[in-house]
Amino acid sequence: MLPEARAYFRDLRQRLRLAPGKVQEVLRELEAHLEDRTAEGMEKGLPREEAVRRALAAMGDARLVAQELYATHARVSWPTAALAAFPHGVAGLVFLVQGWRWPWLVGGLLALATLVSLLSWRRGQPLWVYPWVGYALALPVAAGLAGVAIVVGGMRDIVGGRVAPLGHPGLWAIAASLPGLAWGVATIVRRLLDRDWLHLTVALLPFPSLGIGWALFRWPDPPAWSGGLMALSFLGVAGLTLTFYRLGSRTLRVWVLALGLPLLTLYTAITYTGGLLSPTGVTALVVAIAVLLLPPWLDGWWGREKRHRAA
Amino acid sequence: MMLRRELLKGNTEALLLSLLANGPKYGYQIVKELERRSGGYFSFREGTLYPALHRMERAGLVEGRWEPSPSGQMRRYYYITDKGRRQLEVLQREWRAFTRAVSLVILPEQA
Repeated sequence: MLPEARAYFRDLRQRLRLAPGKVQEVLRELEAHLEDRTAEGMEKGLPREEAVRRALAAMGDARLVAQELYATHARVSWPTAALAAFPHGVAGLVFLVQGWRWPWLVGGLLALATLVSLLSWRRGQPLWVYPWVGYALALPVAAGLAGVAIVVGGMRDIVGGRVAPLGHPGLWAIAASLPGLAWGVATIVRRLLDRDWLHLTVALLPFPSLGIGWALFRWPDPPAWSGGLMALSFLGVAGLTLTFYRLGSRTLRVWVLALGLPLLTLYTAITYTGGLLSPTGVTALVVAIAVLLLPPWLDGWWGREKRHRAA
Repeated sequence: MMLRRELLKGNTEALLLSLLANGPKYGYQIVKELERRSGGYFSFREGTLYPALHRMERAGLVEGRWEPSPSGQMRRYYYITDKGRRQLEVLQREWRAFTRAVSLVILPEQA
């Protein structure tokens, strides 16, 4: 293949952001088309280089071809979009009925989300699975944060000459498990980035609401309206997810998330605290902005890392 | 030229189904066949053709299969499905009604 053609297909591969098997198939089909067009040009008497150049020009801009193909394959049916938004509906219901009072219920639902994510992942990563992966991530992320808090608190106790509640072996055991948890989360994140950083954003969408919910229910006696507020917040996340999955254009998808998530978080935080400048409101907004900025930043970093290794 | 592109865009599905109703074809063959049958009036760009074919495949109107071409190279042939044939009948009926109505208005002397 000539350098121009190789560059064109490399560009197209980077822009396609579809399932790996689908990317291979699309590229193979377009390469076959280029071969036929080139052969036609050569039959008309053109030198090979010129025939390839004209065939590439006829293919059109790689960016536009990738955009059209993405719009074709990324948009899903209403039932599939509903399946993707389903876990947010369940999370809203849990908050509505004050289900956080039953840890076995919350743990069971998160374990179910993990199981569904694992099984679907092994069957080719259907598009609807990413919000489920978000809840599967919530368990190790929460365990990791709790572990860090316990270890840091324990170390403070030991340095301050007080008795740590767990004692040395317990603290070391938790400290030793943290790298494993971090590795597990990093592996999932990397797999999501390999497919498309937008899927990581979709997986992380409920985290600002989960953060507000966590702050709310740390109160010994949370107000009666708090369950309804959180249910509404998760309903908003479900609406964002539905809209995202029903849109074909990648640009529109990015805009919907970039505008929808901060607005939803602001609304929830203001309703909860009565003002934006509360620690919970500011923290939730920071989490929402992190959810939006972290995936593309990680994608850039991970992409550079991959190119560096390939070189 | 712009009008022609818009007409092609608005009738892509009907044109593709009509071409495939005569037998399976791969992308390049579809482009050439459309140019031949339209007397060079229509010409598909690949950036339009493949997304349209894939969209129709997802809708169950056509089915793609990798098969060897007469020259022995593997090509993705598109077959029209039963659902695609039914859709083509609907589109043909609609097209006949549409062209008759348009002719009545803009070419009344020929109607």
